[in-house]
Amino acid sequence: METMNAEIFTLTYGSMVRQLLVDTEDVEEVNKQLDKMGYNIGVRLIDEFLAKSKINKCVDFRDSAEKLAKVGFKMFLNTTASVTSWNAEGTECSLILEDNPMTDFVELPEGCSRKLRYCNLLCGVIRGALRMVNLNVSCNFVQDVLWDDPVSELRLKLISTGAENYPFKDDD
Amino acid sequence: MPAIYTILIINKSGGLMFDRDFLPGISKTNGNDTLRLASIWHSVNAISTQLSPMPNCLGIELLQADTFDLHCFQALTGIKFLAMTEPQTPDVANLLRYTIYDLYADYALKNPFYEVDQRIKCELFDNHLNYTITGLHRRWGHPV
Amino acid sequence: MGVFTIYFFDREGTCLFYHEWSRPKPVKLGAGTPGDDQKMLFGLFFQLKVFAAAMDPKGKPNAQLGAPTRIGESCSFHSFTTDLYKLHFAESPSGLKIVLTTDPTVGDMRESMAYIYSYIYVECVVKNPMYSPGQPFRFETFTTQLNDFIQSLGLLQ
Repeated sequence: METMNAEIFTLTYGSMVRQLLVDTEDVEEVNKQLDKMGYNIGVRLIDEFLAKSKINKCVDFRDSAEKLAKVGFKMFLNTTASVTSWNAEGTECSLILEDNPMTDFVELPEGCSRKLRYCNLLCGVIRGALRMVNLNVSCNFVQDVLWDDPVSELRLKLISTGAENYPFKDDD
Repeated sequence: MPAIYTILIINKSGGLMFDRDFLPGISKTNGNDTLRLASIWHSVNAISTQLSPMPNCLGIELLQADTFDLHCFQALTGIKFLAMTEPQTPDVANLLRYTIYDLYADYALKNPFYEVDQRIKCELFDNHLNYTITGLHRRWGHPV
Repeated sequence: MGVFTIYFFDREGTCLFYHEWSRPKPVKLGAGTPGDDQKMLFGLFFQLKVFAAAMDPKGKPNAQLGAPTRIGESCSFHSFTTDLYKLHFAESPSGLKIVLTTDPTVGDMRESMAYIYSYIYVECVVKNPMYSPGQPFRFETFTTQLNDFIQSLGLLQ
């Protein structure tokens, strides 16, 4: 697989977030835009993930979360996440990121800590990618190293699973 | 191991004339669903000829899925003989075309009390078919 | 004579790409219009999937016929052969469906279709910034690479 300098990625992402802040001047709006952009990336990224990893099927949501954390993160961010804190039904879990290339060298300005979700793009990507395999999830950062927490923690919640329906109406 | 799971016979309008499972333990659809499956097959066959990139296509002869193969022989009268088998089972096309078609011609059509195109309820046909298929299974090494 | 046509569909039934190398019986004599042809084909393989899932000898007993299922969950068909052509079907978990028609002597194309998905579709379409998901696409790099690959399999005249 081709590799490139991670710093280019970190710097590009950082400059994009900075520009969004300058353009909109509203932290919540930036969070929303990052999520939307991530979603658009995720719906395409899923095909690359499926193609390169040759994964065909996940047995249940636990399996999906494991594959996302170990294979997905490794493939695209060259870091792995660990999956912890499952709830009783097996529909919610936490992905702990020890090391995130997107946040290298970043320090949030005063007033943004705890408000700006710097890596919200990542949440959107996960949401979009899983949506394309019929898993509706919500994904949020509950801890972030940029907010002076010890690790970055993503809370992944399975809302519903879809099935393949015939898209045309029968009376057409 | 080669195996024949089910034999189905469908009339020219898509109505189910005969269905029989030959191996225990396979997952069975209920009666109503088998009727619907027969009519789905009939319409799928018709659409496949319509969409064919070559003119004058006659219909599907083999459907291959992950866990089974479905062979279909269509007689000139429009009756379709279907056999659901283990993938790579040999000689099924010949079995349908010659052996089973012959059995149908003999024990169903020649039975004066059998109404053509209706459900086949002929004991002789059942017995001979059963005999043929279990013979094959024994040859392939199935516990009988 | 090797390959006839190829179609790419998304899960909404939109035909994203269609190419015909050879089609002795034109669409006009079959479904009528290309739109009808594509819709009919989508309906055809959808029905065949339902059929295969219901007939599966190793599937769940008493599975309801026609209940919506998830991709990869139940048995799915991968090809059917008629006297004059063979249709190959492949589906990715993301809902992308590839349909290829060839002459009946062609063997199992599953690996080739997986290659088309992973190395031609993903590389030339998904990664192309001009591609909008859900819209039909027409990219020269994609068409060229597809043609080259089909030719390398020996299927083009």
